[in-house]
Amino acid sequence: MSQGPTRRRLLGSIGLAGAAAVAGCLDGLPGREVVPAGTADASGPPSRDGALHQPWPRERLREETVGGGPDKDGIPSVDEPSFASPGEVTLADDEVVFGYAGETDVKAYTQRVLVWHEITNDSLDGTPVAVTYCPLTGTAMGFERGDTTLGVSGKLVNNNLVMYDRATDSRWPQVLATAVDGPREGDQLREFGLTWTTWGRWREAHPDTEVLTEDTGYAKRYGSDPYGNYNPTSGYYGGGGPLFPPLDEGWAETLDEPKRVVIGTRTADRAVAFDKPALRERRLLETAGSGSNDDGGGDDEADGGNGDADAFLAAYDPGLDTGWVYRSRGASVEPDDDSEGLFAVEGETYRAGDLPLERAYAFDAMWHAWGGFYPETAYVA
Amino acid sequence: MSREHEAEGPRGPAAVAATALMRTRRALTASLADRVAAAVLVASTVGYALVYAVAVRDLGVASRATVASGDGLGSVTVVEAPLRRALSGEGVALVALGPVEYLFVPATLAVAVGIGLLVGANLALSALAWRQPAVCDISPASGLAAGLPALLSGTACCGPLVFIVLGLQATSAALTAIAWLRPAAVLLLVASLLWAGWRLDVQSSASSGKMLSGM
Repeated sequence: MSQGPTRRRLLGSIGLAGAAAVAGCLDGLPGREVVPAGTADASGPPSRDGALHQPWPRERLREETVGGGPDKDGIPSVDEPSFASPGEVTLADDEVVFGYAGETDVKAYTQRVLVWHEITNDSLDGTPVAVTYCPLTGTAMGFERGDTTLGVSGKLVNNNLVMYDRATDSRWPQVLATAVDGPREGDQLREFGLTWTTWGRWREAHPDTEVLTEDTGYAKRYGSDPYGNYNPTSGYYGGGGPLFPPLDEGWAETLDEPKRVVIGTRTADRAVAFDKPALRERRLLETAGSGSNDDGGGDDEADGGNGDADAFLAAYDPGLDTGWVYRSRGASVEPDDDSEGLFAVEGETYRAGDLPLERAYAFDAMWHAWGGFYPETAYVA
Repeated sequence: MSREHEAEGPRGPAAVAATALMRTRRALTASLADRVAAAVLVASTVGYALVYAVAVRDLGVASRATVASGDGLGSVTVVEAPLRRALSGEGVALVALGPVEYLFVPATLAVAVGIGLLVGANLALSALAWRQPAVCDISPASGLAAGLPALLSGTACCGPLVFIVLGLQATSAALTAIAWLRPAAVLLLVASLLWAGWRLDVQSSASSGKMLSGM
């Protein structure tokens, strides 16, 4: 089921000079165990340790799964990605990239390439991973894959990419990170964070970054996005409803803007969405439980019952135009009035990405996708 | 079947179909012999294939980054194992010429040329009829219209392009309909072609009997 050799042969002059990918580092992803080679092949990707909130019965998810058009692997994953240094590529500053800054690897995955492949099987900090992107839900998520690779099943649920692993053929909706069908049904993937930002911002923050090139082994019209454009947003990304019927439409009662971007996080039993445009404006958003402006879209009892243990805050990072989500645990956090992007925590000043709190895994998503998967989500604006 | 036989009129569906096919073949042969009609056939086929390529987004303007990174005016990038890729329906080459780029997907091109030939054949018969206005009268509208459904059949990564462009929600019924657009276009074009061939022959026979047989 794996793809054959995919390197391009050049007959004429080509634009991008190919650069060899650099992988093979010693350390694993932060906070994750390195999966020894050869231990996960037969059983598929490694499972996460703790349970992740999954509000829908798997049978219902299977029933709601639809074909998006292309067959299995009709959208081919990139299995031999190549990377180049910033000086070797020509990318506009406003190109969307999904960045990873690890202990040894710093990489940017371009949306212009991933919109045609949706999955890149790669290795980061010595760990085999899949960097995944779903254009219909606006979600970029990283997963550990063990010794197998992930592919695009051609199916969608709640408009979201349904991945499959090539070891067991189990089906994994991206946002849920949970197998809903196949031998691994019920298991959940180990995730790692990607930063949704632009090439100019990422390059400035990480001059040592590498960037995914168009030398994917496939002939595609990279840069021609069939759905529309980001920066400025237009087409599917800019407005209108989701392409396929969502799992749930209750989100429209809270906010009837399906394509509005939220930064979502979920624990074992709840989900929280921070409104990204509101976060840009207000710089700090907090859920109920620690002095909040929770908009009431969530479960008040759950908020109160869990108290600070499940209270979150989001801090805006203007450099990367992203939000970092933390468990607030009653900490006093205030935006610094003098410097944008700095926050005062218990009298000390920190950057948005370095607050001395427990970081929560979070990712950007279109509101319809988040609200469809997590109908009881808290919405914070 | 001779013309004398036809004069008696076909009997039964099979005989009607055989007669229609024969008349259409004769009409197409006549169009190929007519310079204007032949030119219409070629131009229509090429034109339709180009429009189809744009509609399924195989042909278009390159992005800023792609143009900026290119060396020289044109380039051709070919994948490894192009034959295997072609057989699996994948793109095998990207051709860039200035700001324009074309993704060569043999399977898509074959469909485009196939449907384009049917559209071209319809228009060629209309042109042939137009060249003999006193004899025949066949509107090109049906041939053109029949070619339209296939232009809407393109799919992007995750769904039908037409729904993405129009901002519509794709129901399962709509997805099924999309899958039938290309076969429907082919059927309509074939039916339109047979009708044109039939009409051309009937009218020419009724008028002078020389229009097709004399060419």
